[in-house]
Amino acid sequence: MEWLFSLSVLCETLSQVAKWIPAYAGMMAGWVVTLGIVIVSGLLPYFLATAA
Amino acid sequence: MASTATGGYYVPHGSIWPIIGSISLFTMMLGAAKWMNENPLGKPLFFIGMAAIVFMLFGWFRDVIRESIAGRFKTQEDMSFRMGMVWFIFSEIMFFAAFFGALFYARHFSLPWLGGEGDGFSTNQLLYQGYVATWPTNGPGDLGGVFKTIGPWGLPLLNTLILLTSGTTITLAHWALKVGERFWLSFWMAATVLLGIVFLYFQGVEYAHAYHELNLTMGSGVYGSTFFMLTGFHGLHVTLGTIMLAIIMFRCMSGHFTKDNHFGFEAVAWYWHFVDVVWLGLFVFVYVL
Repeated sequence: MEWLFSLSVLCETLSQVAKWIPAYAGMMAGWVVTLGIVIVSGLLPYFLATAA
Repeated sequence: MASTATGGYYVPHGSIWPIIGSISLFTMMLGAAKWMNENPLGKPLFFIGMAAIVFMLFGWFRDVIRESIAGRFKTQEDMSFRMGMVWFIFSEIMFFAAFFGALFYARHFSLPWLGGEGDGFSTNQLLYQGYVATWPTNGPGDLGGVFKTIGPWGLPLLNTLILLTSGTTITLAHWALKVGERFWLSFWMAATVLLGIVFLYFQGVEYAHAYHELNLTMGSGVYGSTFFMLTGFHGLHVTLGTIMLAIIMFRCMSGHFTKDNHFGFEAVAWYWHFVDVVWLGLFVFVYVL
């Protein structure tokens, strides 16, 4: 029966981790997108200058 | 009165944090005073006091968060927290009003007097004959030497856009919290925190430019004093706001807030909007005019 107990602990842990996934995904996406916009908009003048 | 299911007011018992806070503040200020007087004990005392304050803040906030999660706070406590935050922000408004007031006084009273206008013209006659009042200036003594100012339409305008955008992203995060969108709540909070960090980075770039290329320093007379006092204290407030936002973001991710009960979040949002409004004042009165 010990394996059953271990399995239940594993399931519980995974369900806890699953609850965190949207929050972590959101945080990472927020940082990546914002940093991307900042870097691209910062570099834009250089690209435009080169193109001109 | 003890907290009950029907209401009441929760009073924590035997909290050690107020006395630790008092001793820490005293230690830090004693250290600062001794440091300024070149006492060798000053510097270590200052940093010990500062570390103790950080420890106290972590401990005290940890206790309040635990009390909140345990459901100790009800309507009256909620109102106390709201009033506390309202008066705290009011005191901050007065703090900045003092420095804006100093800027207005210097520009619109002291300088014209030094230039020979109005009731204070004798200063010009006796001490600074020939001095023409202009702004920006480092005064009749030309303190700090010739300097240039920072134009408003470069980095300051960019920082204005960054802070205004962060005001929008925190409002979007609030919306996500109210509708229970965990992904978007973290997304917009992360965006807000990052915009705060980017603002501080650009402020650092601007200061380096001012010091190394424009000869605009804290020693540049009345312009340097007011410029760095106002923008510096604002930068410190953005730093504090960014730390608060980051903590609230992790609390959001830990599920500390519900759709209807999230004053911790709202308090930080209020503070962030306050910092935003102060920057608008700075942009207009320090950079543009």
